[in-house]
Amino acid sequence: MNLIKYIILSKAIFLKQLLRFFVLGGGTALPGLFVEKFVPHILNDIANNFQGKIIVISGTNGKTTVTNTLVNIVSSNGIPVISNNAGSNLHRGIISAYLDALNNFGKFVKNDSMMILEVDEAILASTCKKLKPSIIMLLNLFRDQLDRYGEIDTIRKNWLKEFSLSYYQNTHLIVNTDDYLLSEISKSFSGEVTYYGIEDSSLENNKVDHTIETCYCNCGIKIDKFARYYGHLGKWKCIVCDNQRTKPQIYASNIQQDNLNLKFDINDRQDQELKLLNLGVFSVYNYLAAITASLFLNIHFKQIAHALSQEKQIFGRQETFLVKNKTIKLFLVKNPIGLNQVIQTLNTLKKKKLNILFALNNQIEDGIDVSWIYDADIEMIVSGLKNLVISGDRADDLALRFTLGGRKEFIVEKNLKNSIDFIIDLSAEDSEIYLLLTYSAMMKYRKYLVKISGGKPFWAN
Amino acid sequence: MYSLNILHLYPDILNLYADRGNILALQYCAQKIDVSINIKYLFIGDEFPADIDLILIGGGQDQDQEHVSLDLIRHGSKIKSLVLENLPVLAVCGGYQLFGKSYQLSKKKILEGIGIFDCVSIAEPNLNHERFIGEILINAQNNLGSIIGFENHSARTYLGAQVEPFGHIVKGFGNNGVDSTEGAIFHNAIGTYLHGPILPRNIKLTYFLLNCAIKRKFGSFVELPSENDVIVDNAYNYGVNYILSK
Repeated sequence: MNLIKYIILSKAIFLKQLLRFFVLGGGTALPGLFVEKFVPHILNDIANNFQGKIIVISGTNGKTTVTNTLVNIVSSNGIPVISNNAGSNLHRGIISAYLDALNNFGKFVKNDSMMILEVDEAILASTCKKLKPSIIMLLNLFRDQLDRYGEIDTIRKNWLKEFSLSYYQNTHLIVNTDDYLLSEISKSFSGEVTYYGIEDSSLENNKVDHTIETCYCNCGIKIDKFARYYGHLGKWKCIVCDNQRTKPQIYASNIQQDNLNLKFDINDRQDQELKLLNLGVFSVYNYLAAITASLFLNIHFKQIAHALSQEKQIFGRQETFLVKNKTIKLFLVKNPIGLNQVIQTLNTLKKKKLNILFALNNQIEDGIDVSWIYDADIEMIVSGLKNLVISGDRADDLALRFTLGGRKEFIVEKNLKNSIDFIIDLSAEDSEIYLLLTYSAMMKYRKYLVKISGGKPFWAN
Repeated sequence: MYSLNILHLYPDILNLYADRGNILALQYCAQKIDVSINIKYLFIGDEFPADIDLILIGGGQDQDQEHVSLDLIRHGSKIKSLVLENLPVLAVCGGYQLFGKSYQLSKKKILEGIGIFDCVSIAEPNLNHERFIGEILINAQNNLGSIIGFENHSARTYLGAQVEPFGHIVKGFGNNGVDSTEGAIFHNAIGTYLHGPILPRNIKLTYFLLNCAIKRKFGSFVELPSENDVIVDNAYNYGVNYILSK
């Protein structure tokens, strides 16, 4: 039996090497799919081999970014890391990552390594049961691809049921304390919990936001009158009972941003100031999650800051390309809260007017339903637009959305190459162009941009 | 200039599924026919406002609907009398269920509806039960023709004798996946499972609702814009072809 397993594993490893050689940054999950089919208990092998050294990251938004940031910090401190950091977050992606810990004959050889995994929300509970991670990180819960995940409450209840088991008493939970929807899970968690969050009153905003999740306290009262940072995230508190946000042990304060950098302090200490590349309040949360986990792993703050100062670009997430002297920055947008955060971030940039290409697809990985564009506050970006090119399979729906949002000047061009040419030609010399892309659109545009800018494929990083 | 008051019920709770787009479509079309509209909101605990010409209600998670149903019942007879006077209503998904007679969440729990539509909805607690998810195209009543949208619901709705279906299924599941009906229509009140949102994707339905409100308030219909609206037509035509090709 074991012999067959080793044969399958070595074939899969060969397949993975082959794919890397021929496919530009793609096909990362295929070998995992192959192994999952023929060695169904492979997750148990992962759990046994990496016992006590598995970190699992989940939540609606930020999984890939947090995973990559944490991998960078940990590995730059000399700890080898195995990770599915290209974003393939189902079992096949996890297994495919695990193949990197084996030699060509399928034998486990990375005893010194740590495994850092992003895991899809829908399979988190069952995956944790099998992997028994040493650290579980929960980032946030937002409405996302309702056609695929159903109601958020289904996911939340599924997590709550799993993570209230005493099975996890030796596991450490790292959780975003500003997200009310995660609070019951962290309160009923049997292991140790570390909370992170934002403490910055200058960010508190109570303006209209159409993506706020309705939150009810266990006492039945709606939790809605509190200082929000965005969406339903903020310093929540029930006005009737004593249920309120736990004060974070690790927090960001004094948050500032210009066109190029994001700055904030950790725990109000000016000697712990960070200057970073990814913009937006959502990026503060992403950095904070990775920093909290790093501190818990006993990595010194100075080492964390050093690793972050040498940040690498993350696949399709605010990744930047230079084409014809114009800077092109990619934003992955896949749900209303994420799009709103990107819009808010672009609006805070100090520049004349924005050049934007927005491509909306509805492949399975994007969510087949495009109605979410009406939940997002497209209106907020309309007045700041200079040039707008609309593309993707569902460009007609997006054009209608912008029309109803008050923007009537745009070009609809469904052809990828032409749409890029349009936005580049329309934009002034030395200007910046922002691409807002759903997942499958990001994969295609990125591939084309790598080609025309001479950039390197992701897995070569 | 004609002026209409539109009432959006529980926008802070029943806001799950982008149905805010319906308000945007009403505003867009009203402007085209030179009608001014005021949007009013009704929250839990509020008194029902006077001088309402059109009512909208969207959907939420099951838990949200529980919170809404008790409050909505307070306004049931008022809304019913307005509907009998031909006030137009658009009730989508969860709102449609609560505008029916009842919504059975589980064996033990039944939410009482306000009975505008003679129908009952039943959520199936069985985990293996198929959720109705996907693009949908129906042939709608009142000469509205093909109406497109996206449905995503686990509940099944069954119509009684006192109500007509809003349309018949061409593609998709509709009320219950069995009798090929979709939604309900009673006087000018429309209940439907169609998100998308339904009004931007079907501008003719938006004009229909506006014109019902105008006729009721001012006695006659207004003329609709004669020129083609290319952006609107492109999205609609793409949608129809996309759904039929699947």
